[in-house]
Amino acid sequence: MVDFDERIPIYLQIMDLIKKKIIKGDLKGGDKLPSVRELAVKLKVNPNTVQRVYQELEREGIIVIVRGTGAFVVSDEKKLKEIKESLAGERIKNFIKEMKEINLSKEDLDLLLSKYWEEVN
Amino acid sequence: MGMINLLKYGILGKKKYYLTLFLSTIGVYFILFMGHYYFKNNISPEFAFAISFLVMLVSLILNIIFNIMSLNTEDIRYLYYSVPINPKYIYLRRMLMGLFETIFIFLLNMLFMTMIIQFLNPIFKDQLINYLQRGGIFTLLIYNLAMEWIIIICSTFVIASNLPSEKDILRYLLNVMTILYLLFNDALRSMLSRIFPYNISLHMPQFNYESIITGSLRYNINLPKFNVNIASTIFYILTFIFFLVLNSYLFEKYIEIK
Amino acid sequence: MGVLEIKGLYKYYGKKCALKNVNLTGDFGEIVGLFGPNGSGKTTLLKLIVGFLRPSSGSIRVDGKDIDHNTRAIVSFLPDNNLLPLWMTIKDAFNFYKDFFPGFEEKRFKDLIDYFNLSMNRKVKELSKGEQEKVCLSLAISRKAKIYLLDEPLGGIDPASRERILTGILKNYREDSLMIISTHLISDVESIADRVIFISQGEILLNEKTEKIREEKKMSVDELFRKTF
Repeated sequence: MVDFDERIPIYLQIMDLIKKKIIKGDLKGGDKLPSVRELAVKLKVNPNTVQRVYQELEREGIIVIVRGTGAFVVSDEKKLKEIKESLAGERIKNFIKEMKEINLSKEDLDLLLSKYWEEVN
Repeated sequence: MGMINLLKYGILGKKKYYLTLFLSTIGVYFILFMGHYYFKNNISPEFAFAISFLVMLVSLILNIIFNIMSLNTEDIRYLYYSVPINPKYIYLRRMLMGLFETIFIFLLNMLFMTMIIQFLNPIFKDQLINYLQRGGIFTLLIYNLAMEWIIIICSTFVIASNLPSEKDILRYLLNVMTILYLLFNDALRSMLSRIFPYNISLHMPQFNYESIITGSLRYNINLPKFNVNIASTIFYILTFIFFLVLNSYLFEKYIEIK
Repeated sequence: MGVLEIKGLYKYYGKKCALKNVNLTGDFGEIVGLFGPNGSGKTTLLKLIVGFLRPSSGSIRVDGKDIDHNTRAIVSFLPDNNLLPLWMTIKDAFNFYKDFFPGFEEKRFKDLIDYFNLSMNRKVKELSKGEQEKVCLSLAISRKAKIYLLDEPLGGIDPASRERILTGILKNYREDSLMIISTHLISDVESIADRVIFISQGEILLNEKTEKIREEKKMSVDELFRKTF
């Protein structure tokens, strides 16, 4: 199903995956996540890795683990906005770095962004 | 107990072999019988006896060889060795199956031999029963055990070859001891029977077929007399037990699955 | 206390040293990848854990106890070649395991056989190598054991079947047991392994959590392996 880049810690990639799903709306606030074992089989990764993912996500306040029942997405709108921003933030920073490397000014960047924003699907 | 399960699967695995053995033995006797009809009374009781004795001997020898080979190929392999049973039972199972098979071959041949010879010479059955009643049955039992003795001794060589590579000395000792024993045990036993000439007379009759199948003496097969000297018999029994226990111990403690 | 403890283990074949000063532990709930080139001692190590071979020196303890034939009740070993006699049908093998191994999980085995598209009355000698592997694997992981040792479970198997087998292994993961998978197909196995061990010429070169390798060395285990060897 999903092919992970094995050069980067897999748990981080799974966390990203879940965060993206939440932002896109595939996973809504209050939704129940698959059990550790189910997800491990689906993604073909070690169950301990999934366990770690859930624990980290809980630590970040994105999900809540209810003992005996499962893991649930948090229903906090503010939280979800935070996630979106942080996920986008990293990429934008990398992008800006690359643009600065080719000496693009912010004004040029704005123009190009408007030009290409509609084109890209 | 685990041993029963081991036997169960051992026998299950050899279904085909037992069937082949059974059918080919019957086949030989069938051919013998047909030959008699075809060649019209050319088969003498002595000939029938000789043939059946030959068949029995060949079956026994082949069976011994197969059992020894199985010890090396089937038993010391992953499946049977991976069960949580003391490995010595794997060895003992093989020895027990060897004994059962020896007795099975023996009885099968005796049965058909009796049927054929009785057909050719109607007093054979009564003579045979008479012989058995006089103690012949014990003589025959002893021969079965002697076959088992061969299996046990040969298994020592197999065990020696499956010892871990560091135990070279042990392997060497084992092989030498067994070979020496095989070479000298007859001499030892005669020596013992001379030193302690105390015999038990068990009225063990000699299986002299001449007295059972009266007639021409073209085929002279005389089974050797069984010496019931006490000392040598005890020696025989002791070495039988010794090798059995030694091999079980070695199997339990030293065998490796490569 | 780990379920597996190996201290100072040496194994000699005559003068040849197959394993040299092996020290490692294994805990419940772990899946460990044992990686090394052919002849590095992987199979020797696994056979020592299950008791098929005896250590030349050093100690191995399974569940706190020394290794004897009773260890085989809690250690399930899958060798790299077929372990079943050719006269058996799958049903015979099933009965065998049921009779000899207490706690053998019948339903789990039957489910696995279905999952692998096999049927109980097929004869072992008629199965392809891949199918034999699947049967042996199903038998091995349907046992209720504390340690599962899989020696090259993916060897000589087509990629599609490999995926099935890996999924089968994952589906039957147990938190209360240790699994050690030895293979040289590292890229297939590395995402399901918690920890990896590199072994070469009888010596342990590396014993590390997989994610730690990715974080610290920024490469996949497969790449690290190629670099090391």
